[in-house]
Amino acid sequence: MQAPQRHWRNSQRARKLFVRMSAAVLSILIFAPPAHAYVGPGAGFAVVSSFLTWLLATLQAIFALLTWPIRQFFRFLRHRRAYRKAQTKRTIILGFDGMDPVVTKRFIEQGKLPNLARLREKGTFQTLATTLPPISPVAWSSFLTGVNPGKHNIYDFVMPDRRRYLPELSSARIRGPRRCLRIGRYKIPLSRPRISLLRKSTPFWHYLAKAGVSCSIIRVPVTFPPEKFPGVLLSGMCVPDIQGTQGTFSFHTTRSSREESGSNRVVVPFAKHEDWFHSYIPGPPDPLRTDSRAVLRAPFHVKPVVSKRRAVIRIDGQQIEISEGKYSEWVELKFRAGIGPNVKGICRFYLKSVEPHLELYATPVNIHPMHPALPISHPLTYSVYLAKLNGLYATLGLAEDTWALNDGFLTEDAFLEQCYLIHEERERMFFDALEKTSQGVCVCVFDITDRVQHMFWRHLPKADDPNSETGPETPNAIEALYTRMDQLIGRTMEAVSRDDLLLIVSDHGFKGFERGVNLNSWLHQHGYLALRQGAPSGDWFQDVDWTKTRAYSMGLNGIYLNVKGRESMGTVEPGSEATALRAELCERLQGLTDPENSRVAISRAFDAMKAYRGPYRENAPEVIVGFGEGYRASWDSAQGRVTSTVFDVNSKAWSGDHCIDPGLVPGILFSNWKIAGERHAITDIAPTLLSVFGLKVPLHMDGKTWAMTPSGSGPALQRP
Amino acid sequence: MATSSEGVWRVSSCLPKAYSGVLNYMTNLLHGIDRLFDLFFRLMKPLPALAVLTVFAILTAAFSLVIVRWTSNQKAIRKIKDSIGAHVLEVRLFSDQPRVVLRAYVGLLRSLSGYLLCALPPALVLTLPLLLIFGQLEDRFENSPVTPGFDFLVSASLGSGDSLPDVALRLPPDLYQTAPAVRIAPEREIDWRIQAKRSGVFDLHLVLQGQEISKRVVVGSDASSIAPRRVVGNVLQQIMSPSEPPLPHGGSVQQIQIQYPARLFDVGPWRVGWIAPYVVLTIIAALLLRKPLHAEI
Repeated sequence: MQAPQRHWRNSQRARKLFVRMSAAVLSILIFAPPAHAYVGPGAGFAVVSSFLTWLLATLQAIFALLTWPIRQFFRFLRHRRAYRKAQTKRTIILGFDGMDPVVTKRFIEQGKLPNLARLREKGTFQTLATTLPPISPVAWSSFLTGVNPGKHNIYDFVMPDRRRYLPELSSARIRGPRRCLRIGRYKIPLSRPRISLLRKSTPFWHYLAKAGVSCSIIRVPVTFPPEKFPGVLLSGMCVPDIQGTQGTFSFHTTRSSREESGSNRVVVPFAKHEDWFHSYIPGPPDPLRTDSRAVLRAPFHVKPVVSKRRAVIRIDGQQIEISEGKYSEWVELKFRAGIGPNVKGICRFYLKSVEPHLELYATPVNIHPMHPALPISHPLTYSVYLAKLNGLYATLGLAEDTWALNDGFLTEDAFLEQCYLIHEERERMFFDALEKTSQGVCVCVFDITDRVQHMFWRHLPKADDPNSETGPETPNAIEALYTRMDQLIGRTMEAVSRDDLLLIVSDHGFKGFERGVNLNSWLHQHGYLALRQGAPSGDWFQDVDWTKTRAYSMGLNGIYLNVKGRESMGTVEPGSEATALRAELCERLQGLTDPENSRVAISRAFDAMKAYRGPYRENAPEVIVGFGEGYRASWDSAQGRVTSTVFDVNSKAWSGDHCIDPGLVPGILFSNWKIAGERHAITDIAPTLLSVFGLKVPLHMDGKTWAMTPSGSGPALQRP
Repeated sequence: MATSSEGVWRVSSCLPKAYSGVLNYMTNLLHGIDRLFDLFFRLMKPLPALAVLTVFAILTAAFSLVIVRWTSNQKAIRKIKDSIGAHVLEVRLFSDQPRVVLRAYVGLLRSLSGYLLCALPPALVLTLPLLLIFGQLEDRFENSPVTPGFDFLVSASLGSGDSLPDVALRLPPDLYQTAPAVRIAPEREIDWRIQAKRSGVFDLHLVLQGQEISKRVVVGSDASSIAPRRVVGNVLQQIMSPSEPPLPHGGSVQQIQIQYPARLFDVGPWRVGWIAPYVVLTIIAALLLRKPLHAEI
């Protein structure tokens, strides 16, 4: 009891002292001439800036409130159809990337997901047909546009550059400035970098917002660069890191003395000087150098404190203390390009070990949400607003660093911690958007479900043997993940009234990835792809003889024909020859069995010309491969390598996947409303939403509208 | 030149011992600070006055930032500033929703109060040192010296009483009276019109009922300190007029004032007193120095 009393007395004393000091100072200030009341730039700045901010905000608020009736009147005149014919005034869509219906059902039946169980009981639970191929950028593009890939032009994460036979991002293209002044090894950019969205067709929120429905769109994939529309949007999957890649982490170590770069990582050795270790974080290409390999660097210094198992990091004037096995807060980085402007980014550090080797992991450098080097939100200030409201947050499309775990740079626990740190940021964003959407549409997509299932599927107990062995480190990662998502859904349901429409959807499900199929090796072995010296090729078709190659595989499901006039060294005549080759490939691939175990590795192969409709069908891979359960394109195949074997074992942590036959991996559809009918597809959501708000569905949309009714009488769905 | 001991000994005889002790200590301290400033100003003599003011503004800003950094909750200030920014953006982003706008506005007022509260501890700590600096700067920048050959007024304000007592003005040889003293009984004030023959720093003396009180006069000189008033002292007055000791308590003379011309600085098209450029320059310097000094303001 003494300690609290002493504490109380001390605090009383401190309070008295504070009051007396304040009184003394105030009396001095009151009796001093006005000029002397100025108490320095700190306090003076506080007073002046507070006053100006208050004035500005007051004027803004008064303007907003005074003009509100006028704006409402015009909105009413222009958009009265928006809510007049609407079935609901508010729709909330929670997207969970890769949430699997089989796993969900199993956990519901085990009583682990009470909120989803309640939705199933009172509303709807169905599978949701995914796209061909069932890959996130493809499926979410269909979700937001309501069309098949032949109309939105996204078929994979990557697509081939037909001139160089190299992959490029399928969703966005970032190019340097159009005009530069070149002086020897240096250049001065005279215009801005060019960023273009390659996804076609119009997202449903554009129609809704134009009709006067308020829209908040948070991290829906393939929304980078953000398109203008009368609502708020934060871009999601496909937002690059500061280097322009989809996520390149750096690892700093005393174990190695040689710098090493991979496709998703840079390993930088520490240089020691006295007690400090020095290294740097690689940044974006130097905009003032003509050499495209020259990158900007953010140097930093680390001092390990071995006895306390922690380290002190000094970077750009900041000092961070970090314990072993822990992440730092977001650290702001500045990349200086000579006298040019700084490029700002953020990253987190993870201290893997202090001895015997000092090992430090740094996440890919995310675009700074307060000073975005590239636009990541619409309006531009929305990302700033979110950062100011909730603190810095991950902006990278694929922020959860699966590669670091896959390649052994992070432990499973460290990876999971990273995932949940990012997820918490997104939960905060979502609930803020939900709070702001009293009427209209709020859409948020959570990625964690996809990343954790990819990496921890091997720990998931088999459905027919719930007591089967789980992994040693993180035995219940997927169960914990689903439980956490159920809690999030529960919190959302608390904020939802009976009249509001709540949709919970996923773009695809999941299956195990046990064995890989190298499609390029198969094409080589069957004479469709030729190598120059007959030896296995390096990355990205290094030794492929394009003059003798008729087909090649790029990405996770696609086979492209080497067409004359389209590819730079095309060999296949467009028209009948191409048609025949497509049919031949489909026929030979369909039903391909694995000689190791006689299982069907490829259950179906699709002719793109038959599978897709739309103006961009020509850009699709000619053949889409639907792998059987347990199979996927091998890592070598995805990297454009031709090896001597077609089948191999997947020994990476990345043990779950969905880039297979779409019939095997449907997504989920939950709703608090009753949805009539079955076999609904992800393409249906956009037209259904337009219909829910009483808007006419555009004719180009492929999806069908659902018949939905609120889930009857009784109280609104509450958390059990 | 007036000595510091003159006034203080007399003050201490009329006041409680503890207070006079404080005043003694304060006088010595202020005298020390005064000499330090004299030294600074002597070093910066070749610089124009505005440049000297700029140097002091930068020094004040740097000193204040260090104090702000050490005495305030920097993390809380950063968070509150972010929250203010978020509320301002909220009003712009969701202007179609009056409920959100109102809530953002209330949040903004709350954050602004928090911000001012965070600025209070450094303000408390900075008050005294900044008053000391202000006193010094005011003595040095507020007024210009009187010009030789031109009239200037010396006013003495006297304490309450039935009639104005006889006050004699004793001038050094280089100062002379150009008109008889004017006695304004209702105001209890006596004014003398004086002229100086040459530049310099002189002491004039008021003799009243056997008591002699001096006041320094700066004429056309480049002396750095020009105190227009000498008044009956308290701690605050001492801080504000540090270059001369206060007048003794209980005496008849309450204040002696020299009417110096105001010193004005040419800032672009304006002619302004020292305080405006000083405040603006300290704020600019603070904004520029806050990053290198890692201070959040």
